Amino acid sequence: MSVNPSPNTGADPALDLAVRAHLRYGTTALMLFLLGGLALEFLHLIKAPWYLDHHLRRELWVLGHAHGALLAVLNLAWAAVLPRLPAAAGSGWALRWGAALVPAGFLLGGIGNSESDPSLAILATPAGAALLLYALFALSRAAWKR
Amino acid sequence: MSRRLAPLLSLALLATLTLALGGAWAWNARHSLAAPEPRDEFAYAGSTACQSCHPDHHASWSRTYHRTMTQEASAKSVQGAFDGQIVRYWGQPVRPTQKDGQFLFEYLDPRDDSVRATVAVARTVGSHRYQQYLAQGDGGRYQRLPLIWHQGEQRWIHYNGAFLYDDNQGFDQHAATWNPNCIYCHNTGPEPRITNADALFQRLKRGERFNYLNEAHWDSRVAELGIACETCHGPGAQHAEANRNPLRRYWLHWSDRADPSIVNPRRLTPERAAQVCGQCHGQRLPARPELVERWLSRGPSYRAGEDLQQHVTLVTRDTPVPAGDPDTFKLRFWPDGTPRLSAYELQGLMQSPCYSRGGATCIGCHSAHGGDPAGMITADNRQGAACQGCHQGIEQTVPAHLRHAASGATTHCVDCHMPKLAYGVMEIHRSHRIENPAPAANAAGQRPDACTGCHSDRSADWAQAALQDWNGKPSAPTATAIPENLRQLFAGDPVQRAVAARLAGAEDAALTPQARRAQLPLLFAAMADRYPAVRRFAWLSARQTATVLGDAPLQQALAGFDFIADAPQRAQALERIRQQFRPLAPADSQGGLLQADGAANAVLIDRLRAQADTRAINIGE
Repeated sequence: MSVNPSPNTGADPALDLAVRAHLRYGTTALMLFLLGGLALEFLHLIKAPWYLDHHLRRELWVLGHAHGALLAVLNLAWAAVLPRLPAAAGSGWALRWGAALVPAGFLLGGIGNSESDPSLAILATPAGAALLLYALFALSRAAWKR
Repeated sequence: MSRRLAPLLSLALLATLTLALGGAWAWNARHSLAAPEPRDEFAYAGSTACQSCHPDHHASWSRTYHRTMTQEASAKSVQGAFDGQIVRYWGQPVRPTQKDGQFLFEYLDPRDDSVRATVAVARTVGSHRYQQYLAQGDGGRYQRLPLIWHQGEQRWIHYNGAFLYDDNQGFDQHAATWNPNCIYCHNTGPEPRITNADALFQRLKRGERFNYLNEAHWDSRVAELGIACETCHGPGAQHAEANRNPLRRYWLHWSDRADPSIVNPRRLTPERAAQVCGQCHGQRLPARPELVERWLSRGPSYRAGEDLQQHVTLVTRDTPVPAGDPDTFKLRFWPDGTPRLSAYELQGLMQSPCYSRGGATCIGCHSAHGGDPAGMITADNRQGAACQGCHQGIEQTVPAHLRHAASGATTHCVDCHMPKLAYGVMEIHRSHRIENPAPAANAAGQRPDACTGCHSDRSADWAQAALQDWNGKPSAPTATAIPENLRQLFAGDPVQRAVAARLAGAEDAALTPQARRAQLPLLFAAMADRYPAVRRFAWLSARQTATVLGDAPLQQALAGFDFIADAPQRAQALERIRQQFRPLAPADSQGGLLQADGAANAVLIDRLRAQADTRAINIGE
């Protein structure tokens, strides 16, 4: 199947660049987080105690993997709708950073964590969530705009 | 409002709210750590509340027998065979059975096995060695029932076989009320809550004589059935509440400082840490008479982390007995003061130089969150790895250590320095008085010793001479002396006899198969002891010996012996066992205990038995 990396965005090169940025992030992140999922399965396969026996770490890494993959797909969806909502293009950086920070917080929060709390890296997650909220707010506003 | 201003204002509002919340958390964290609230001694949260933040610790504690110490009766908790098979002990037939999901004991008429009374099991106590059953009676009373289920042997046993009393006991001899007894150490946050103490006191003042256990009414409560988190960490409701504040939690993680809202035994001094375990593993009395009322109403006043001795008096050999036999406590210790029953581990530890000079404490070896749930100890520590912390390399410097190693014997620190000499829950446990073996002194002091317990076919003189020889001071042993363990097997008091009977056939005893075989007639003689507990240990040792020898017919004959059966049944079984065994001429007469043909010397055994102290030992279980 052939994929056209430059969808018909008209003659707006800035919009074309924005779409391409989301496609790059989305496809790369999706591949990485799917590989991450394989890594988690491998940890089950070898019964790694430092993963399986640490409930919080396990939960955080699963959350990181799931959010990372889901937000990668969101970037691809964003790239698909952007040509119809070009006003949201300016907030695309927030979507990409948010999509990176949310899973990064989960994944790094599971390193050096205590039994009851993630490590301080978890702060990246709410920061990323705020950026995602901002991006989705901008997208929504663009959708409502006449 | 302009379109550009709206997002900025929203951001500012969000930032303000975040700052306000963060500021409140920071103020609260600083305040609660700088000036912590006094702990509420009754503010228990329960182990489920601990689980959400401490899942690993909750999971490791859940494996322990502490958790299942007391449970509501259910198909999950009840271990016994309530299968309708009648068991008969001390003249009373009882049928454990089930009906409508309830576990019942049917007390039968001995003449025709018709049902005279039915008692429903309400709660269970214990799950490791054996399980006791409680019935709920009038006045909120929980009554301990006489039949217990022995988990290891998968059989019913009457309580008379678990205590150190002779055969002359009644069926209900060891009836006990849970509310003012077992509740204290088998549950978390126990509150007996006697409700008619004043009325009973008035009756006492009028000179009435009555059994208060039968007359007292209770509204007993516990924070949690079984021994849960808050027994060792203190009541945790305030801790759970305070740590909803994330800044407080992270500040504690960063600073590595102790959280004043909870007790971590690993942060306590060795003395205080030992007392956490010692609140139950150190038999005790209320420290002052006025605390008796408190114990009967709101329960013991001690909480983890406090100075236990401000709340209780630890029972020692010299502790005056408040009521009853004045020798009750004295009999619970060996003559040199070493505890000889379980649940006195703190007293034993406190007598040890490792504790007084080296700061050894319970959690140096044991852990509620690791190792084998049986004993809550790792395999390494079971073999004395914890000793290496202070005594590194000592195995290469002490002659006794080198000699044992050279002989090919597998001995661990605890085998010689914490010998098995304490009776409890139908087993012989290691002494927690960590000390050096002293065979001659211990024999003179009428207590077991590590050397003669393991070398149970040798005399104290032999062991003492070997020690002196190893230390460069040779002396001649008395060749004809009776092996000390075998002397105590017949001439000792009930605890001595029980310990000796257990050690005589212990799996790890330093005995050749020939020496084990030679002792069998003596173990058969001990299986006719007047005390069921002694008979059982002698039977266990004989069974172990038959296993080591691979003597299947003898094993089969031994399987027919029930240590708490009626005397004629036991005599028959013992006769069959003796017929099955053919003694051989012994290489060593064991100080005359064995005749030339290998049979037991009944005359000498009777002479030794005449020296025995026959008093029952009230073990307070």
